[in-house]
Amino acid sequence: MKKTIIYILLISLVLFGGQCAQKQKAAEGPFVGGAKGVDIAFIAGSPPTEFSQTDTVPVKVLLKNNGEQDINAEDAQVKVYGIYYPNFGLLDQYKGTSSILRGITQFEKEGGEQQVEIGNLKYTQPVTNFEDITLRAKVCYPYETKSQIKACLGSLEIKEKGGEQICELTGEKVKSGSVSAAPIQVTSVNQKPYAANQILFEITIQNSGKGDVYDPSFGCIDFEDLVKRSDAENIVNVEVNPADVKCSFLESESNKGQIRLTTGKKILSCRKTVEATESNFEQNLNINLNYKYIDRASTNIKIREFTS
Amino acid sequence: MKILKLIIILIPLLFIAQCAQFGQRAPSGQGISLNFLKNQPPIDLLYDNQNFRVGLELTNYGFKDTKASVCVYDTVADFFGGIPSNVCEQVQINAAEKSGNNIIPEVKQVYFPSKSQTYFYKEITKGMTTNIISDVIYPYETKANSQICIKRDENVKTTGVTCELSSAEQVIQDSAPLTVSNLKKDIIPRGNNEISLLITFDVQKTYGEILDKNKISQPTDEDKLIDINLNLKGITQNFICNPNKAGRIVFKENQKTIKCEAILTLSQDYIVNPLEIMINYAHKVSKSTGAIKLVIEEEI
Repeated sequence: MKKTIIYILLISLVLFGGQCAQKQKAAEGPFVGGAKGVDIAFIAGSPPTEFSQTDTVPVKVLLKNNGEQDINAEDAQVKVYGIYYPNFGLLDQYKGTSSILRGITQFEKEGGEQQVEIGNLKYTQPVTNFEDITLRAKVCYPYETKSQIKACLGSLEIKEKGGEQICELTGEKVKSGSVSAAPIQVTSVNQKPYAANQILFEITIQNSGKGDVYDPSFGCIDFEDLVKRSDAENIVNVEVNPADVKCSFLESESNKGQIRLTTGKKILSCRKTVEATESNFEQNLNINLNYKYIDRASTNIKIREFTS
Repeated sequence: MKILKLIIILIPLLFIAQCAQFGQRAPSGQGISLNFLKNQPPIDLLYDNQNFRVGLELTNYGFKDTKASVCVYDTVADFFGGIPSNVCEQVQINAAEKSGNNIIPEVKQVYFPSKSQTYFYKEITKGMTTNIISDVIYPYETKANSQICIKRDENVKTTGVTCELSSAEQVIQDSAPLTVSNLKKDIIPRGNNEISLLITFDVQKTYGEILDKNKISQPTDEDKLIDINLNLKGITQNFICNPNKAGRIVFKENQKTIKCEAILTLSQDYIVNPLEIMINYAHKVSKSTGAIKLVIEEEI
């Protein structure tokens, strides 16, 4: 009996120890990493979950930047939606943040927070008994995903001529910490030799958040318009450096351009010509993504009929 | 083992107790009910020249103060006395009150010919019977509510909300003489943020007789017209409902399917908004004593 207890204790210690060791594992890249951007939530009590039809109640949301990109004042914009505004005494307009919303860093694990007051809600319609309503809010903000991928530059030509193989020419190059925390992620960079002196990069860009992504050149208000939105929807601006990397973008072949995600994902093909050297070598492949992102939150409220 | 047996016995008992409790719940918002007060009139027999009055108890479960028309009559010719033809009285009865989840109905007693006067049958013949009947007719408004999602086009995203162009919708309403069921929404996009909103539902009679609210004092069987209004709260009340007769709905059946349509312009992808359906009509409830034996002196 005693032996069994000792065994259980030992196994538990090993399991706990293993978990701690895993948690302490350092990122291999310069970024914290993660798939979060700006989170939005209604502030408890604003509005209250239940109130009378005669009450005027505040509507406030809390924005928290859990990604690694700072957002300037006024750039993150918030509005309630999905209701007929005059019924609630609220306005059909975005409200911007009043100051910078700082992102997380290796040293600051908590991102910046800001409360945005949307307005005061006063239900203007007659109520019989009660009405259950879901109040929804959305945040629209510009964001950037940065990535620093250690690519292996070399070619079949170098390899076949017996050049030194310092790094792996073929395979996955995205490591932990090589992509900054943001809702749009570079989830894979798979490289392979292409022709005699070229490297092919297959870069997977994915919407890893819960929201929607849009062309950053559009304003948040533009996404209310069906035509403008269909132009902007799922468009991400991509810039790959070094500048001699050529990718197949929507408009042309370049190191910068636009892609359109299909079902939240796009595999972008890029090529780089490698000069003849004595050996292959590692070089940073910087892939920066720019976009506008919209995330949402909701809360349920009950508006009761006023009884004196 | 004993405990197990006890549990097996207790569980069904708990269920039964709960069901019994539901059975005792007061009907909510179902209008006015009508009952004869005990022995007013006596329901077995009435003697020649015996004085009697008709005592009625009206119970209002509705949430509106109501002016009802209460009438009594019998099945015997006026020659034999009893209740003369067309004896009606207008009665004001207050609304029921809400106390938490409970409804406290308003009760009112009405007497015919009056609290201090009586009727009697005279010169009756052997074997005669009478049937005393009372009607109450009052205006009623059924209110049915639903939260409906309206979107401006098929392909717009409605993240977090189930919002189809066509869907069955849930109805919240108190029980009433007329109820709304099988509510269905259909959206027909027309371009430029304009949609046609079609609301289809069944109006169902639960009990009593449905009449035109404008003819409470002189009800006829010819035009059983009711008024149906839809209010997409704050947005539009301009629904056109069919089939209609000069804007009103003929309701002669126990159930009728109604189709209402409105044209809307949406500036957002979708909105979730309360829809209220109001049906205005008169409701008639009748109560009969059944056959009362009329007894002549020789039979005593």
